Amino acid sequence: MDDRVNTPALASEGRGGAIESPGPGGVRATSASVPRVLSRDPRQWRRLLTMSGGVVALLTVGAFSLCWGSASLSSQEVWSSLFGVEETVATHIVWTLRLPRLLLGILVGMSLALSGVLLQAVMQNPLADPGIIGVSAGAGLVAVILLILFPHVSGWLPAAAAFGGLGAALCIYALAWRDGGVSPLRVILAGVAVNTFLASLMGLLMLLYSERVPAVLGWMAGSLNGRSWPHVQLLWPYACGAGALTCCTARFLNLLLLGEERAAALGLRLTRVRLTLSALAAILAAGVVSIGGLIGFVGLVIPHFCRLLVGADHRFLLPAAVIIGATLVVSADLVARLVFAPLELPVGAVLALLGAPYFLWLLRKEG
Amino acid sequence: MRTVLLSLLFCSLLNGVTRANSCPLILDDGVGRQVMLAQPAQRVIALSRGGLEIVLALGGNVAGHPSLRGIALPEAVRSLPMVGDVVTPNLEVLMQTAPDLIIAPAQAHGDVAERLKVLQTPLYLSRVKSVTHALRTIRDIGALLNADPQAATLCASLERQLAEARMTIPLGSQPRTVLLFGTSQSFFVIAPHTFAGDLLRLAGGENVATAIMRRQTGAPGTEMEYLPLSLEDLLQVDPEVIAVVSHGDPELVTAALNNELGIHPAWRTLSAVQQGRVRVLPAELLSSDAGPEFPKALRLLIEVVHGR
Repeated sequence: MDDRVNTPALASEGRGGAIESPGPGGVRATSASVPRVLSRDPRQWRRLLTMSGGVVALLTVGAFSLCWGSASLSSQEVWSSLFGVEETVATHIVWTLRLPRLLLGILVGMSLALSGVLLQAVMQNPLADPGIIGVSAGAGLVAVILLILFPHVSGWLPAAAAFGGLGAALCIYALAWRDGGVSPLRVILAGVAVNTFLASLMGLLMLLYSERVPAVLGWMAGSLNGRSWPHVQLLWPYACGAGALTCCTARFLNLLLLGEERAAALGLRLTRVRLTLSALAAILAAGVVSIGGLIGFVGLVIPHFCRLLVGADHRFLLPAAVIIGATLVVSADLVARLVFAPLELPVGAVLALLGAPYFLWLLRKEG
Repeated sequence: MRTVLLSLLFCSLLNGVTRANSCPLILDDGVGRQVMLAQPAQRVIALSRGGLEIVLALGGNVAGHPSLRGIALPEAVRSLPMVGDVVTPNLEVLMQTAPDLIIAPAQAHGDVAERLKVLQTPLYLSRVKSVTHALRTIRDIGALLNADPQAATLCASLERQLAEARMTIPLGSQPRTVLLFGTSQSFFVIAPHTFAGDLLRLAGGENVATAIMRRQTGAPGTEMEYLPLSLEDLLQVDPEVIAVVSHGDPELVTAALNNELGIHPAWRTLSAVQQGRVRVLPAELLSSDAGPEFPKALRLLIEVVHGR
């Protein structure tokens, strides 16, 4: 990868005046400086193109995902399902399945991508993703316990998985806490230990109740099949609330990229900022896990991909991650629905199939 | 080797089959492997509930019992050593109990033969995808235990029970039914070419999975037993009955599921949900590890499918 990912790149991006002077409790970015940066930065057209191209791609894929699915419907039927008054099977399919599924794909992609951007900046580690703070493992263990041992309360799965994910994240940060602060390295090490512990418990349960494992597989692989408006209602407050807050944190994220010492010297309260940003990342990821199961790779791959396109400045990286993350998940969900129709692949599996080779390519390119 | 061949030839001439009391017993198991016993099995170990029940029903002598989490063991075997199950067999205990025949289900555990190879004990793998397979398994185990007459009697009794159960099916009634496994959070449709699918056919239900899969005959995955079908397809075929195979308490799961599906915008449009015809069936009865209790599963399925 080029210098855009690394700290010096940000410093160079900040030369245009994005970071003006330290303010109380941190560093203030002038609103007037943004257009100046845009006008001077040679990548402004690339950024504009990425954002607008991303929006067009999202709208296109969104339209396809409303029209295409396991059930074959004509575009006329889809149109009248969306805007007509007559209730038909097509109306139910489009209105109660495809439309909420499209919205969920957008919310899931956006949340995971933002969570990945936050964690990679907080941990100062390009391999950080929501899995590293235990959200996936915590939610996974709770889901396995619930679906295998207590199937009669599986309706509580969304809430329980979110609590499991947040609980594991809290546990990791508590373990990493030392001398009044948390260092990224300790969080990563505690994360590895807690993740391994939770994964072992999950594996043990799945081994002991191997005949019941299929009941969990679909959820574990990450899927949006069968999700509808109640799931949108559950997810959107967390995704939009935490997403909006995240988009306001660009200057803190930019400062973190300067390195611990410089950020602290510029007045950034490292521990407080790290904990707040990690909490936002955990809420975003836990919301997704509660609705879609264990959907991986978006949080890892999208931040890297977006950095290639718009650079490391979080004022551009965050909105780009929202758009590209949403487009990726909606596209992957469409592929998951169509490739072996009427069988439906889990969207998590499709994302891993697409994401792993891309990430390997990225690593080789970086090397 | 020559002696064995001569013995086989002699037995064949006498009985027309290789299953005879005093000669080596040779037969193909459920996955086509050849099982050969020098003499009828005297110390049998079944690594699953179904196999254990068949051996006990045929009067066989068991040397240990499988670990059955959440299922009560028959009184006769409680004092015997526990030998693990088909996924995690305890090889040390198995060696100690020195069985002369091990019976295990083959489905989804393809490497069980490899894992038990070290014991050098004859292994019968059952693969039950239909009632015919279930009856064949009983006959095979009967042959290996030298209990052919008992096996024949048991099979005849089971066939009679199946026929009696089918007599109760209302004439001309064939409700569109879907068999699900899992929960509403993550469900799989059970394919027609499974034991549960075959029972549904015998119960007189029209399996909607057949219609959905027919659209894609030959497509990858159509041989799968648990199909990750889309809810869109279910809306199109609109099943009149939803039977969910679950490991939980059937009554508790039924109540929870009806509540959950009743408020789901898509599920609640299905005829089955609107008419309250969503029922949960115990997984033990419909699993492919079928014991001699499967007529009970058929009776239950007939009740569910025809709403009696």
